[in-house]
Amino acid sequence: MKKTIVRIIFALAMPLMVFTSCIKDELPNTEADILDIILDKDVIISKKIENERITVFISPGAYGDRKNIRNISYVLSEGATIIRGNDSYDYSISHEIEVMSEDGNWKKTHEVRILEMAFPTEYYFENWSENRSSTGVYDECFERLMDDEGNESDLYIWASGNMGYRITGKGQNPDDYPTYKTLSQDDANNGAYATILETRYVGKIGQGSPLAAGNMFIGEFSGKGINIMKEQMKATRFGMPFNKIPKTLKAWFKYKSGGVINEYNADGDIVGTYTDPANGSNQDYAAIYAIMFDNVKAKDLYGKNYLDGSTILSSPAEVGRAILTDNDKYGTPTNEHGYPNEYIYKELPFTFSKAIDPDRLAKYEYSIAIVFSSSYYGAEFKGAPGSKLWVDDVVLECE
Amino acid sequence: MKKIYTLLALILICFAVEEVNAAKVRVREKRVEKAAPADRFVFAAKAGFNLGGTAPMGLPAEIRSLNSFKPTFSFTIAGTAQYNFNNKWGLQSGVKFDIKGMQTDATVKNYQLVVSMDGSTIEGVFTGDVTTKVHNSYITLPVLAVYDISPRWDIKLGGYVSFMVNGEFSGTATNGYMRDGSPIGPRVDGVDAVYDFSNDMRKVDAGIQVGVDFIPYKHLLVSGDLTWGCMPLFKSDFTAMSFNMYNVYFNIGFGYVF
Repeated sequence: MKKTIVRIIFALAMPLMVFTSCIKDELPNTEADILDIILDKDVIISKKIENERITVFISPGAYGDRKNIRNISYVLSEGATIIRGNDSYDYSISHEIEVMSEDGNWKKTHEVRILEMAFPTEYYFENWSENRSSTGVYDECFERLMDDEGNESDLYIWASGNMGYRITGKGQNPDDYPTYKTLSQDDANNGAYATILETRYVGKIGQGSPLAAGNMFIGEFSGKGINIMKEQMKATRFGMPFNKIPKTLKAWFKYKSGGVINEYNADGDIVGTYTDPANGSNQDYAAIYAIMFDNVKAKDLYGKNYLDGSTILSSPAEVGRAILTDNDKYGTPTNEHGYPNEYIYKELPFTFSKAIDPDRLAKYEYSIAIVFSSSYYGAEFKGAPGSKLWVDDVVLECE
Repeated sequence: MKKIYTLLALILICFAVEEVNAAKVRVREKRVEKAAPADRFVFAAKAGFNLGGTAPMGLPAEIRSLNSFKPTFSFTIAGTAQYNFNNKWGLQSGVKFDIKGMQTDATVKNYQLVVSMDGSTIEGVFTGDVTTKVHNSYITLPVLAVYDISPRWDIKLGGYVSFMVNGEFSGTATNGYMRDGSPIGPRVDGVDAVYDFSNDMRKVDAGIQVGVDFIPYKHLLVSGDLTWGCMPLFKSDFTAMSFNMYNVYFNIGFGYVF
């Protein structure tokens, strides 16, 4: 009887052991990413690897007409395989590569573009695509170039913080985000669209990023390898390699300041008003500028060939800048409802602090970053919610 | 940790088994041999604690390792009434205030999760560390058939229904990355988020219960009961996790027999 009882007790207790004892074998990987792309020649000037889009800029002429680029190596997610697109070598047009995950359940099509470096210098903000995620849709601006044969290529050289804002879950529709295209043609200076940058209050959800200034810049916004909520300054990767000497940044814009520059704590409570050390004012203002910098020096300094939110305006790698400094940065003329109805035109000349080496310029060892933001100190989460900047028809005039 | 508790419970019960031979009090005889209906009822008040887990049935492959498991202090108080039909069979019921809780820390891969941030959410698959805290209180009504296997030992088999008084199911997702929406969605690195599914739990749980009652002395009752929930913890429309969880707890109780 005693034995029976002990057995019963054991039988009852056994199921509890289930929880700690049986870790199952690891399942095959479910990811289907292209993590990197490697060419057989050292001709890559810049590459931008996004979730479904890969853009590689190569030296002009490196692969002739780019219709037969072989020996491309793709670095894929563990166990993933290419199931489509690897049997054609014509990269003169956008190329689709479909990757299947190790477990076979997930497939992702990547648009791969291998482009000769041809950086546009006129930006009319007419081309927009929609980036969809589980929580919302946001706008993304791109440039469309046409070659001599009439082939179009789309360049995703512009980036914004929308991807970071998406994580807060506050954006449902494109115009809920900090960066979006104009909703009506009347609101653009020319053409169908202009870009709108609007400072948004995020609050506690931002986990230390209580404010999201609208921004748009040449470069990449990437959360790779960082905590995007806590290190947003590192997510903004400013600049792309450039082989011309810029002279003037010309832009049409209108602006309405949201008021005083608020400072927030991590919970999103206002803890004070920030005073601009440059002029003692506490009014929020717009940022419109271009920075030319030495990307080799940036790599020496930071280990990366770009500048980020904490270094863009203060880096020793900078060689020249053009920046909006006059009082129009605080606001442009408004109609009787307080709405800025008139674009104004500015020519911002470049001033150089260091000489540019023409040989190094030809080798793309300098980069250009053009930056627009609705709150100048937005990268530090200081600003006024509601500050709104419209930008259209920008030209980077070069020598 | 849980293993140690389980072991302790077993030792305690085995020790009690030894006591059986020495003891002479025949509680059962007292309560059954008299024919008066009032004496066929036996009442007891019990206090005890629950050890166990609110867990999936078998660990899903998404869980790569359980780094820690802490049963939280989960006390129970109960009043039971037993009606004896004859000297072998009886029926037991009662009311129990029941807390079922635990804390776990696990390393997961491709773990489907909706992370809540102040009411806003991202849904996707997470790879990293997930902590879970469960602390649910229930009012439980058991119904058990009781069989007398020896003068001091009864075995019990039946079921229970529990009504949730208060529930907490929450935790954190840290040291990892999330793929937004699905494994091929945009990758979000450095995730440091919280989740709270307290409001997604069912208000009712029901399951099977098996146990033993041991009566070493005239008024002392020691019981061990396994309660195994058969209803998934979460409501059927809940999709924030890819697998169902169930309450599986072992209750050790000490009681006074009136």
